Amino acid sequence: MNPILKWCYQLAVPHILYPRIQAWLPWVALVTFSLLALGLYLGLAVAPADYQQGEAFRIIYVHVPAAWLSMAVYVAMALMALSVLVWRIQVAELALVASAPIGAAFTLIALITGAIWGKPMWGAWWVWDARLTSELILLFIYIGIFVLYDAIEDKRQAGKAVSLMTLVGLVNIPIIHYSVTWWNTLHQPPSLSKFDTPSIHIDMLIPLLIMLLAFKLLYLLMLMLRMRLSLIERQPQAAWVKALIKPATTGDKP
Amino acid sequence: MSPLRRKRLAKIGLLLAGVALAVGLMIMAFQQNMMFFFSTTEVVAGKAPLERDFRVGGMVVEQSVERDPNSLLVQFTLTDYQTLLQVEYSGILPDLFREGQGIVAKGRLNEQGVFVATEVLAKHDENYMPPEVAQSLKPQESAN
Amino acid sequence: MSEFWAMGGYGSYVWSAFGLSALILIYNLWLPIYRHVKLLQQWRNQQQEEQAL
Repeated sequence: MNPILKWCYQLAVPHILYPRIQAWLPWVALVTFSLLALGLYLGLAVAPADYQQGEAFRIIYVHVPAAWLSMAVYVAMALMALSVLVWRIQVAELALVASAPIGAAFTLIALITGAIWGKPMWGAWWVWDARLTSELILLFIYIGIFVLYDAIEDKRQAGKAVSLMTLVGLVNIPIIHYSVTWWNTLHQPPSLSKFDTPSIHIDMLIPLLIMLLAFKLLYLLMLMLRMRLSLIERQPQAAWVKALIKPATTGDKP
Repeated sequence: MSPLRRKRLAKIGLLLAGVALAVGLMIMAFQQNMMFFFSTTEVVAGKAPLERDFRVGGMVVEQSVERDPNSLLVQFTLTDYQTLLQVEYSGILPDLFREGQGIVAKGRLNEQGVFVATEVLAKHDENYMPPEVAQSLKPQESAN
Repeated sequence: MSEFWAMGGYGSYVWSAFGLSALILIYNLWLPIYRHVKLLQQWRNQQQEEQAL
């Protein structure tokens, strides 16, 4: 078998995935925090102030990456849900459930920073326009997913139910994205997804792209941390989990 | 009913209530506010409701802003580049409010056809650039 | 430097946005690490008790 394909297939095997996560964690963390530090430095200290919004525009460097990830995590979860329902991949179910609180966190950040940005610029913390309302609904969907999973005792049933709910909720994602073009909203159209005309000056764009990459890695890091926990939580009786506990106890013996 | 089942039922009930709330909010927002505001043309054409508050969006016409020196009263003209609408507002304006800026005002029309606003929000665009660049872009635009 | 913190008068908005975001992110990083450590610790203690019996 193709070695790359084999490597990918092995990710579905808990006792191979766990040590891989352990080995990769420090490196992913190092790259994530380096990019985050660079992005924050460039965004907060180096990028010029905006001609209209002045320094307040710097909130973009946390608001846009968080909002972008709030939708990207959901799309990733929909793919995981499909893997659960069609191919019965157990690890995909763990990844799906682990992703929901992370997606909720990004959504919450997007909503909070949006409110803080909206107050001085628009003149209101919150308005019930299509963009803001659909993003709030996304938060409820994320919360619903992990509450539903906790509520159903039989975890195999829970996995299926959550996967279905994730796929149903996917309809909200295009609504969020296109809300600003389909309807009149207070929220402005996206600056990032149109490259034909420069919406953001290059000196402001580079820190934003770095922050976006850092947030993607942050999702990967959080997912790895949650997966690492749920892998051992799921199979406390498995031999490979038992082996994890061993070294400390044997070390205690004289 | 066993306590475990009751607990499970309560959790599912809570979930359903959450979904109902979400759907309710969606319907509320999508019915009333799907269109967050009317354009000035729509307002002048009488498409906006007269009996309740509504929002109107448009651009503040250059040199139309008149501030009352003794109070917070501001008068300005709003346009969608087709129709003009006179707006009156008393209160604190957002930092982005300026001539040539897109705004959304909430309020209703009085008998004289003047829109009396109770809230003014600034709508900014998706363009971000340093002030120097904005300055250098201006002459180009007027040349076009 | 104080000019940097003032953010042209928007300091309270900019820093609260970044601060609250950092709190949410740090909590999300810390929680699974803490629970992972606790769980392994708990299992080790259990094993030691079993061996002691």
